[in-house]
Amino acid sequence: MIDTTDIYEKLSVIFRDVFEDETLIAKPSLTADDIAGWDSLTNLRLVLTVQKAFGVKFTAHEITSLNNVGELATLVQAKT
Amino acid sequence: MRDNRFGLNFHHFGLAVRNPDDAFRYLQSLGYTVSATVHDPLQRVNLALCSHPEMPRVEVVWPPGADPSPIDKMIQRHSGLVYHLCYTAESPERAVTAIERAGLNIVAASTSKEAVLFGGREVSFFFVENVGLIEIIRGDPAEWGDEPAEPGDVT
Repeated sequence: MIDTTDIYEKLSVIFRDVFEDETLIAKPSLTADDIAGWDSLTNLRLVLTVQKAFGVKFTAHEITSLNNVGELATLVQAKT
Repeated sequence: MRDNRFGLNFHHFGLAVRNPDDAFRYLQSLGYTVSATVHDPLQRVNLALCSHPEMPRVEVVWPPGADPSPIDKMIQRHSGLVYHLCYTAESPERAVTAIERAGLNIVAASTSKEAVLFGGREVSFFFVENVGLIEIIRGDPAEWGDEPAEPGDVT
C-alpha cells in the first residue's frame, strides 16, 4: 500500500499536468468546484491519468461516486 | 466492407449547447428534422435528435434548467461543443474489450442507463484517451424502426 503523502505528491503532479496549472496542490478537500477547467470531460482525462500513474483500474460506479480528492486518494490507496 | 474491429457503428454526434434555439435554427436551415424535446432524468439533460437524409445525425444536448447537469461546466467555457461520438453495438462489452486490445486506454464514464431518447435502450459512456467521449447504444438500429418522434409527439 502506498503512503498517503506519496499519493498526494503524485496526484499534485497529475493535477498540474491535466489542468495546466503549476500552482495546484492536491489536498483532500479539493473538488471540481475549486478548479475552473475541471469539467466532466477533464475529469475523465484525470481519472485515466491517475489509473495509469498508479497502475490501478476504477469502475464506473467508483468514478461517479467520487466527491473530492480525498476520496480519490483513499480509493487509490485501497487499490495499490 | 472495411474492417470494423470494434463492432461499433456510427449513430450520431453529441452537441452540447447552453440553449438549443440557435443549434436548431442552424440544423433546420441545413435541412435537418428536429425531434421532440426529451428530458432524460437519468442523464440530467434535455435532448433532441436531429436527422437528415444525407448528413450524420446530431443529438443536441442542453441543461434542463435550474437543476445541475453533467455538461454545465463544459458549456460555461464553450457555448457549443461537439463533445461525444455515439455508436451502436450488439455488444458494448465486446467493443470495449476490443478497444482495450487495440492498445487504447478506455475508462467507463458512467454506469449504463436507459436512454429516454432511444426508447429506453441501454446506453453507456466511455472516455478513450486522445479520442474523447464515446457513447454506445446497445443493439442494432436496423431492428428498431422507431426513430425519435417528430416535434410535438413527445415531450
